[in-house]
This record gives sequence, structure tokens and C-alpha cells, in this order.
Amino acid sequence: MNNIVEILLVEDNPDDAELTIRALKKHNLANNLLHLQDGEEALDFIFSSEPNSLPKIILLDIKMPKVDGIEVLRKIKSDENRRIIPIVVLTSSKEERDIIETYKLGVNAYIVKPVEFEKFVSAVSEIGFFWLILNQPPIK
Amino acid sequence: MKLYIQQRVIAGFLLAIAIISALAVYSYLNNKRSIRESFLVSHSNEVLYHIEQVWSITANLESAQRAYTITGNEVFVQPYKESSREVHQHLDDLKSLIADNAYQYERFLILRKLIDEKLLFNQKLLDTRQKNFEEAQTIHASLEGKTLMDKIYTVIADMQEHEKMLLRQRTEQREQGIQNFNWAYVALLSATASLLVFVFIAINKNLKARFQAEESAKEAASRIQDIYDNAPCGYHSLDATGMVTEMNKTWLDWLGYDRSEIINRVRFSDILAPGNIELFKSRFETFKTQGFVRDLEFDIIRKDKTTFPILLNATAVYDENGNFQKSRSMAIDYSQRREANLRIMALNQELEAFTYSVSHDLRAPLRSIDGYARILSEDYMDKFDAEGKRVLNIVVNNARKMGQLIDDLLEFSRVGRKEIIKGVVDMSKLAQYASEELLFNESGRKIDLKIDTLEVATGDAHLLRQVWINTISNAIKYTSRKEHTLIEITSQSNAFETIYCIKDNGAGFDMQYVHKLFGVFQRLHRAQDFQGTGVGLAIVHRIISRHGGKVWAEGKVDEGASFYFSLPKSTQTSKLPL
Repeated sequence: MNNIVEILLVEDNPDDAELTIRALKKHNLANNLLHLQDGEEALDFIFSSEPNSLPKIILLDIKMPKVDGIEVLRKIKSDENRRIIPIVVLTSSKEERDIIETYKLGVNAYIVKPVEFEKFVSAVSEIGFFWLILNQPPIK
Repeated sequence: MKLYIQQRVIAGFLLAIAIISALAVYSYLNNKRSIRESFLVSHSNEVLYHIEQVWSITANLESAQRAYTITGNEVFVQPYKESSREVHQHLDDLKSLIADNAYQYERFLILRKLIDEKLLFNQKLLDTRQKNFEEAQTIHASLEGKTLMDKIYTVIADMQEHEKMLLRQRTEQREQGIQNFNWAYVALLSATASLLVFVFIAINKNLKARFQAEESAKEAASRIQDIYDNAPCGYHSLDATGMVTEMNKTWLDWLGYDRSEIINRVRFSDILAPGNIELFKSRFETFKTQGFVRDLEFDIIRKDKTTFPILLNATAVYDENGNFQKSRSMAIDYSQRREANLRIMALNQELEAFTYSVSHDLRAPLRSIDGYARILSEDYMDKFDAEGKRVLNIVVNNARKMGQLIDDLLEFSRVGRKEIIKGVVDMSKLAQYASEELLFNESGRKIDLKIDTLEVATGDAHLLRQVWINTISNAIKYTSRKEHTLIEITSQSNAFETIYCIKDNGAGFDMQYVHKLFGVFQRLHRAQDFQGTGVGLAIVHRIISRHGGKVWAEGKVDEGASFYFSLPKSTQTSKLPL
């Protein structure tokens, strides 16, 4: 049971990843977290997982080498079995075109990472709290 | 009939006609009088002739009678008889001629009586001579005959004298009349000639003026035609069916066609690239009712099948019933501008890519700096001394400040690139919402913010909201040291623009630095007094500029500041991104 990944963090910047994980840990939300470094790894992971053992939430960075977050989002949201996974884009970019495009592709939330650590911590923990505890997912 | 001749010319003509008519009448009357006078002259001559004849015949009778009396020759009797018949003939003629002249008639009667007496006397003598020569001699010697002849001569002479006098008078009168007529004729003809010369001069002057006017009209027309033909833009006109009815040389040169190949032969849609035809047709229909089009872009096909872009502007011409007659169209070769636009778009894309990467790549390390510094201060606080803590704080603060700078700079860049979507904006509501949002974070302060009923604006609601946010937050920020903050927002408008004013009683500024207020990263206060990056008013400046308006400010140190921005009432603004 504990082997099932609850949070999939796809983030190429190890510092951002560490800060994110740290923020989630503070609120005890990082127990079943998997951190992957780029979009290719993320897609490999998602598409090799059994449909009944998909993560509860994917935290997705946009700007990544090889396969970027937009592409990951498109692939997952266009797959019949995997489109149900909630995906939250967590990115530095506030570009309108990214916001619009990700929403068109079916993103569940778009969060701009605040520069200030406190705000960052509170943003990330709220995301974890909302999607892991408050939200009722379709997956059993 | 409309008269184009000058009044004085008409007057001259009328006068000449009047003179000639008068001359004709005068000539006719004169002729009549002249005929009458000639008649009278010849009448007098006739009278004189008959008087002369009467005398000469009477004298003949006398001679014949004497000859017979002396000779008793019968040969003289025959001519005597003929002459006495003749003398009556002439007397009868004379009578009818002078019946109207009382003086002559009176003498005529005497003459006739004397001649009758003389004839009787002669007869008596003749009769007596036939019988007795001496007796006849005696009668002769009585001088009765001579006395009668003398009397007759006296009367004849009197009559001749009188008639000659009449003749002289009549001749003189006739000559005077002829002379008078000649003078009058010459005078009137001269007057007519002068008038005609005057009229000629007047007409010539008139024609000269008209000729000059025509010349200058022609010159003006050719100047205008030159402007039309050789202007550095294309001019053309289309009729209601879209047929090209006029086109200037510049346009034809662009197209490579001859005038004769285009005018009334080609519809405008025929020279459009296939993709533009439907757009043109639908816009042309709207144009005919709307009356104008502005800045429509079309691709045009030249005769050699190459294409080039134009920018089309047109106004419509209607007849007095309001029916569309033709267009006045102007085309600009858009090639260079389109290229420039493409370059601008490329540059913008580059800029966008740059800001995108700035946004992403600069923020990430900042976040790490801030995050790890925070971890340090949270987890290793006990290992830092006071100086270590102070230094760590500086790191955190600077990281945040830089984060804010990047955010503001990105916002500044975004405001310049964002497409302006215009609409009617309720500025009162917008200012109200912005101030409510901003005052929400200032619950501890005593802020009196008054918003007048503001004029509505034409502009992009989203960007204008940013203007209110920035100006009002500015006012709130710089009044933070006042015990009682007073902020007033007002507007006033004229025919061309509306001016909005945000007035506060805050720290104010020194007017000698007013030019720095709206520049990027320009600040008039130290960061420890009032925080900020110096981008807020630069953003306001940029938004208002893009709306075609202006920003300015007035202020005095410690006595508050007034920020103004104006928005034009017309809808014309720059379409190009700044």
C-alpha cells in the first residue's frame, strides 16, 4: 500500500525539487512522493503504471529538457485511462500563453512558484493538502 | 436666354442699334422731304418755262401781227393763228401749275386778261389791215398795242422774278436739307462707329479676361491632375458594381497596366489575390452604406502576376438622392511597412522568448537562494551569531527585492506587448474596485479616499484597471507617514480628451525631478523611506501612451502630489506594440 505513489513531482531543478519536497514534508504530505527529473521519465513512469496504481496528483514543471511539461500534460490528458489523474502545473513562468495552453489541455490547476520561501511553502502545502486530503479522486 | 455679355457691351449695342434705327427713320423722312423739295424745284422750273413760253409766243404773235400789218402778206397769218392757239395751251398749263400760289395766280389772272386783250387788239388790227392799211397804221400809232405789250412784259417779269425767287429759295432749302442730312448722317455714323469701337474693346477685354481665366483654370486643372496622377500613393474610384472608373498613374505603374486596360474594363476584385476577393466583396457592400473604410489590407496581383500588399482607405460619394455613386479610394504600397511589421513581430517574439526565459530562469535560482537561506535560518539558527543572522537577512531581502524587480519588469514588458482590446470603461467603478482591493490591506490606517463620478473612458479595461491600481497604490504608499491620509480622484473632460487626477496629501516630490517620475526604475525616494522598484508609474505611462494619452504630475515636498493622465475621446490609437 505504501508503495503506491501518491504524489509524482516532475521537476528538473533539483533545488526547486528539494524545496518542494521539504515544504510537503513539513506538513507530512511527502510520504509517498516520487521525484522525476524530466518529462520523458515522467511519461515512462505514468504509461508503465497499472491504471489502478496511478498517482493521486502530479506536480508538473513546464520548462524541462527533452520532453517539457506541456507535452507531458498533452500525452496524459489525451490518454483515455490516464486523463483522470489530476495535474497541477507548478512553474516559475507566469506567461499567459502557458496558462491558456495548459488549461486548454485540461490542467487541473496552475500555480506560479513564489520567490519568497514562506509563500512557496504555503502554496505547495496547500496544494498537497487540497489534492491528497480534501479532494475526492475518481481512483480507488 | 442667359446673357454672358457685360452690361456696357449690351448698352453699347443697344445704343448703336438705336442710332442706326434713328438714322433709317431720319433718312426716310429726309428722302421724302428731298423728293418734295425736288418736285418743288422742278415745279418752279416748269412754271418758269411756261411763263417763258407765254412771253415768247406773245412776242411771236406781236412780230407776226406787225409783219402782216406792214406787209399785208397772208404768209404771216398762218403762224399767228398757230401761236395764238399755243399761247392758250401754255396759259392753261400755267394755271394748273400755279393754282396753289395766290401771288402768282393773281398775276396770272392779270396776265391772261392782258394777253386776251392783246389778242383782241391784234385781231382787230389784223381785221382792219385786211380792209385798210392806213387805218391799221393809225391803230398801231395809238401805241395801244405797245402799252399792252409793256404791261404783259411787266407781269411776266414780275411772275418770273417771283418764281425765280421761289426757285432760289427752294434750291437753297433743298441744298441746306441735303447738307444738314449729310452732317447728321456723318455725325451719327461716326457715333455708331465710335460705339462699335467701344463695344469691340469691351468685348475684347471681356474675352481676354475669359481667356485668361480659362488658361488659369486649365493650369490649375493640370496641377491637380499632376498631383492626382503622380502622388506617391494610388488613387482610384469604383462605381457601385466595383468597376474601376478612374485610376492614377502611380497605381497603374504599380500594376504595370495601361490606363486603357483598366478603366471601365476591370473590377477591383479582378486585381485582388484570390484569398482577398470574398473579404473585399463583403467590405465593399458595407462601405457603400457606411461611407468609408480605413486601413484595409489587400494583396494585389500585378500584370506580371507578382503580388504586393496595399493598405486601402476610401470614402464614398453619394448623389443628391443618397445613392452610392463612386468611391474616392487611396492605396498605399504596404510592402515596406508589412516587412517592418513582420520585423517588429519577429523582434517581439524574440523579446517574448527573452522575457519568458528571464521569467523562468532568473526566478528559479532566486527561489533557491531565498529558500535555502530560509532553511539556514530555520534549521541552523543556533549556530549563527548576531552578525551571521544580519548577513543572512540581507541575502533574503535582496533575493526578494530582485524577485520583485523581475516581476515588475516582466509586467512592464507584458503591458507593452499586450493587445489593446477597446471598449467603453466605467472608470468610477474601476477606480472603486481598485481602491477597495488596495484598502483591504491597509485596515490599520486612517484613509479618506474620495472618488468623484468619473467620466467613462474608451480603452482596455484590464490595462486601465492596472493604471488605477498603480496610481492609487502609489498614493496610499506615499501617504503612509501622514496621520490622516486624504486621496481624491476626479476627472474633467473637453471635446478631445478626458483628464483624470489622483491627488494625495502625502510625501510629494521635488518638481525639479518630475521628469524622472515616469521612467523605469526611477525613484525619487529612498527605499528605506518608501519601498518600491520604480516600475509602477512607468507601467502607467506605457499604458496611457498606448491609449494615445499623456501622463504628468505636480507636487511639492511634504505637501502631496497630483498625478494626471489623459485619454483621448477619439478611437485612434497606435496598433503597433510599443
